[in-house]
Amino acid sequence: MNWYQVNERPLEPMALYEAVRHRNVGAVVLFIGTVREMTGTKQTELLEYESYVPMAEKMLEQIAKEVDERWPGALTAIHHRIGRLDILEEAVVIATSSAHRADAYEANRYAIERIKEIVPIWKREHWTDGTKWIGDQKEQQPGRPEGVTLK
Amino acid sequence: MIKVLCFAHVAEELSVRSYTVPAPQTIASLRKGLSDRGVSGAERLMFAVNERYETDEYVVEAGDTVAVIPMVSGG
Repeated sequence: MNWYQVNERPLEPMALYEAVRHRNVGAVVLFIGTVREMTGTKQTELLEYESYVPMAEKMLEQIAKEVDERWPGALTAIHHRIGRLDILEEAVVIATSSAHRADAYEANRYAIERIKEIVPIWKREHWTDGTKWIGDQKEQQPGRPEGVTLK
Repeated sequence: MIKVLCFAHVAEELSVRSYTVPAPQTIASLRKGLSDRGVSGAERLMFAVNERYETDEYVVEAGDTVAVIPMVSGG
């Protein structure tokens, strides 16, 4: 299994769980992002994701390296689905593992926040009353991805 | 030549997935080109050269591939 993957296939969360387990792991955190129907009074019919796949997979691997720098020994596997997704379907799975639970929880939260900053994947909402490409979920500064190390 | 890849709202507004421009050029000049062609929010676009983020002063050379990256919204 590839640990960092972006494609149109349905996600298999347990495969990521299996990937990050080993004998000295005492904690695995599995985050699954799913497609939500109601956002306030707005009703979503489906979501459409698009990606610059080769770069997105590289950025997922970079996030895993950042995790390892911050929580040494923690392992991270991330799969993101693209294409058209229905309500209730899984869009992203992040598995993090570590010897103790605190690191696995923190590493997992870090990974999803970084996905929303640096991974070239875009979501298009198909609401009952129209469509829109979504951006700026974190209200970043213009022209510079937050936290990206530029050489 | 420089190959420029477009995604999401940028691809829709330009009605193309990619185009080419003469080399060399700075990212700032690519950004201005997009703004001149009517792309909304051009000042907020990010750019990657050969799959790595770069900033406005970076000079893109012949043979490079530039991705125009709107604010991302994965997850």
